[in-house]
Amino acid sequence: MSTDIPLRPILPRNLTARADHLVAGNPMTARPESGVGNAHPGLEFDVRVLDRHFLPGLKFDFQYGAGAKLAALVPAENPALPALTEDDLTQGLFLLLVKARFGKDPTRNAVVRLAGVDGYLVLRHIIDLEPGTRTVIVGPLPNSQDDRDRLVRIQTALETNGALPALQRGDGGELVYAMVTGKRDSFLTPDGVIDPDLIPPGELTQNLCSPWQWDFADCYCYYWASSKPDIVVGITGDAQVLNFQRDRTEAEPAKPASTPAEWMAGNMTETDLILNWETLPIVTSDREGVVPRRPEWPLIDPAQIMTLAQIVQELPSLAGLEHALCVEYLFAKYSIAAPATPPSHWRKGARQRYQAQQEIFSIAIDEMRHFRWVNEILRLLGQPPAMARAEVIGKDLRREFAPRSLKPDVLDQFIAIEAPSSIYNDDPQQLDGMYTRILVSLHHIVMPEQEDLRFRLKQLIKTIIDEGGDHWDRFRRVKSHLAGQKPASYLHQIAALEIVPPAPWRSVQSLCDDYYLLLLRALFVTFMLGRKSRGRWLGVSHLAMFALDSAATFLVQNGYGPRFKRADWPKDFSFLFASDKSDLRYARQLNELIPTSDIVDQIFQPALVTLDSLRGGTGRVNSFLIDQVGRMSSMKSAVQAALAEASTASR
Amino acid sequence: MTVLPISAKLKQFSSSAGQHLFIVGGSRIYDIDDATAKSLERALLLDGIEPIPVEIAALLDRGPAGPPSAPAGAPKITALSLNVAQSCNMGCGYCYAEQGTFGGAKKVMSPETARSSVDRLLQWAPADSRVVVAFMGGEPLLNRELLHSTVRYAAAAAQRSGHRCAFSLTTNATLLTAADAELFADYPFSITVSIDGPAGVQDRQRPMLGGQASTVRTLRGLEHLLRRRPRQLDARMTVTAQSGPLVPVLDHVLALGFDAAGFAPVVAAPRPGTEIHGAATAQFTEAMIDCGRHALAKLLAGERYGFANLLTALHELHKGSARAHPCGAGAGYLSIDADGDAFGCHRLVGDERFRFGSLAEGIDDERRFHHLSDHAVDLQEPCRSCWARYLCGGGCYHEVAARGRTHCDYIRGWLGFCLEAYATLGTARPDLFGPLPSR
Repeated sequence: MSTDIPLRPILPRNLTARADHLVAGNPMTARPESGVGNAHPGLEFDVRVLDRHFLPGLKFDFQYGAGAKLAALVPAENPALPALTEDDLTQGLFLLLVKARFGKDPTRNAVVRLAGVDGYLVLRHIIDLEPGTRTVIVGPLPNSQDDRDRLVRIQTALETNGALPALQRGDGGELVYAMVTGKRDSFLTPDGVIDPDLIPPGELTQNLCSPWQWDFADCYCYYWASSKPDIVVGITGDAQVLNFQRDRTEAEPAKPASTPAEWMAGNMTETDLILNWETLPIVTSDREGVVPRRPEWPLIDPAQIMTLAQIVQELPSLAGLEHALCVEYLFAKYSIAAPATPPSHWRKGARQRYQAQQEIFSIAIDEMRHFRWVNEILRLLGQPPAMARAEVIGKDLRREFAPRSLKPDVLDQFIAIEAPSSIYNDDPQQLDGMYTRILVSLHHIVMPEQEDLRFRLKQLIKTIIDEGGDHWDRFRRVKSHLAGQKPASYLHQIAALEIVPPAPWRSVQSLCDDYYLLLLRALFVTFMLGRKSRGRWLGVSHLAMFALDSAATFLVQNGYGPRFKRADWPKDFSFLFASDKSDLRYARQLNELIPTSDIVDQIFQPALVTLDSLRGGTGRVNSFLIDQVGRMSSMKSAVQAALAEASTASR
Repeated sequence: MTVLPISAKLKQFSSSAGQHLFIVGGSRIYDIDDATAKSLERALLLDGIEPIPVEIAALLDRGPAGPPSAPAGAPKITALSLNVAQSCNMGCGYCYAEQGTFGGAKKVMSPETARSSVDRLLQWAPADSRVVVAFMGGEPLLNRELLHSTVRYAAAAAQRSGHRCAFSLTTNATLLTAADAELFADYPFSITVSIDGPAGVQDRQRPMLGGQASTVRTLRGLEHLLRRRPRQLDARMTVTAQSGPLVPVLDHVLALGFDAAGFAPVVAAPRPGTEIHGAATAQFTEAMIDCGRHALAKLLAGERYGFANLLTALHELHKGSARAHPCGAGAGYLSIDADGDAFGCHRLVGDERFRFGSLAEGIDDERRFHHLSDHAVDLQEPCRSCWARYLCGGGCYHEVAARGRTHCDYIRGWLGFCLEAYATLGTARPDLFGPLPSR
């Protein structure tokens, strides 16, 4: 419609007329700044950028909730810019008033007050500006009655063309307000394209939605990244309730916040989250990881720094210790009489037992992984795998390795061994302390030409330290889960391991031993071959672990425990460490470990014999047998597939 | 498709608040200036020669052109009226129901039929919806025991099925007791009392069956209702060709203590002589508008004045109601007669053209759907070119079936007045309409 035809005033009166009047054309949510694609803060470009230059010399940011904040000064654009400085911007200056002609009455100037108005609403006024001269007042947002009164006086002066100094400062030199006048007709060139001198390439897209950036503060649409996980709740519902956004420089709250104010009080600001994102923990398996900290090398007595040879000497015993702890924790896990799946909320006791069991299980899995990492380090250093299990645990608190039920005193010992060295003692004899000492030593050891190796060794040690960091805490949580229950009620009654069980439990117990051995053999091959094994043998070890888990669980339910019978390992593996680094090495090593398929049969033979002895049992034993036969056959296929792959590789 | 005249798309009118425009599509009401009003007047006069102002053409182009499009099937039933007593203790000369018999034998509804009706209603209505059970007659209180037991039964059944159940009753009040009033106050009832005015009018138009005066008996019944008020208490005043001026009637009836009172003209009656037609229609229109002005003056003075015809019209105009049908008969509403047969509404009982099944054989939804499709106002003549079509919906099925569309001038005249009243009150008493979105 041509604008020179006077518009007839037609005003809607009833509800349908008003609705029609408002929603004619696109719905109001289709304003350019309303779409999440264009703003909040934009997926393709940020439409707010187009209008941030509406006044030459100033650059604004239209902030959700806050207002139009003065983001930058561009003195070259506006010779009439008053004496504002970059320092003034740090005060936090906002667009307070605009005097200009607006679209709704383009015939005359109007003054619009924008102090305290949401940035997106400010933007609507700015989009509505007619081309030509504009005057704005910028300053800190008014926060007292005096400030508000002053703003009214300034507004009146603007409306009545009264005299107004261009800039006013307080006694301390802080800016009270500044008045800026300029003329801007469009952000487009005469050809109708966005003026590249005004809005340089990149500016339109500089501020888009990126997970964990400003969008989670600015987001309007509950886009996933804006829905940061404020609360971390474990799989069992009440294992851990923490405010993700809490300030981690403060102590962890003893109990979760119960009021919004309490909740907010412990929060980091959005800005802090962005500036210090690297201090946020990663959440995996329903649990917050350890908060990574900037590495600070502890001051250490130079005499404590180990040589590479000393480290090599220390590692097998560390591996043995991890192995021994893993088995002890596993046995403790099996000793708890807990259901296999999370029980409903009203079965409180069963839930607590389930939580305790899951907690210990996850620690045992960590130890198994550490066992693997230590062996990986040994492999990197050209050493044979350390498969043996420690017979004695701890140096200060020496005690014999023994699979035991999780009685309170046993739990206390676990807590003690996992205590961070700084809590329990300063001597690096604790597991944690020894790894720390190795890490610090690796930091100081001179390894010319082997920087890459040193880096990888440090990473592995660091991983072990990081993963073990919260074992102490988690064992204490186990204690609190079990606090209200008597050992007699939460533990299976398990006969002493020395007692030989009657049939068929004797066979199930043997089967556990067979699986344990299979598991260690598969791990041994993995450790020997390293990456070349392509995870095939690790897969076999997983199958063996699950089979062991099901057999041990079945066994404890019937009053007997898995023995974890110790296996003997050859002492000399040097024949496996040929100087040959070619692609054939994997096949050759494997060939030396498992020279014929008869060996495979030999490996599985004991377990198959044991399984056979279970035939003809009762219904429950029979179902168990069927399940185990299936598991055995999967393991065998996995081994055969690994061998077939090796044979292809060797051709 | 024939091109509709401009007068079928919009209506220009004025009020004390200025010049206005009613756009038929979407029942939208606008304020316009004098110049636009003049241009529009010329365009309406010289339809096809003088174009309408472009801004108004733009308004016609956008927004809904008609009522909401017809649904793909028959809507769910949420209201039933039960003709619990097809007989009456009064002998009103104009009665469409012929003393409740609808021209047949006197009947009362059995408790089984009443309960079965309630059960069916709760089955048919969408889950969690509001349902209405209305009691009609004849005079429903002639079957008091059934009425009382059905109310209790329906309330309990609705509670079980998760529906909200409301009740309504139309009565002559002559048989109404304190116990009845108790029931109507205890349950969510809208009570409509048929009363035609002061004793002179009432006794002439609404004698008892034996010819005795009814006023004293009606007022005695009303007394119980006023002592124990139901949620809503309205009066329905029938106007015949002999009724005379209506303002005194309205004042009199409202003064009796009703929340609201409305007039209904006799358009189709079995007995001749009472119907309003021909010259009487114009007189009736004048009399209604007189009542409207009387009510408008009261409302402008800030008073409450329950002239139901006006208040309902103002409410619908404010909302911008646009309807394809005159009422919910055969749509969300059915009426069950004493034998359990289902008709479009209480006035259509016994009319085979509007029979949609029965409790025993079930409801014929396809027939209901065809009834609605066939009666869409845009298919009716002369409705399809009338500016008031989406406000009126085509006129009462019962009246149109009996007499044709003989009262269109009255409807347009009355709605024209209501439009003016809406504009006047919208400016002077915006509080009557609640908060408005900005314009």
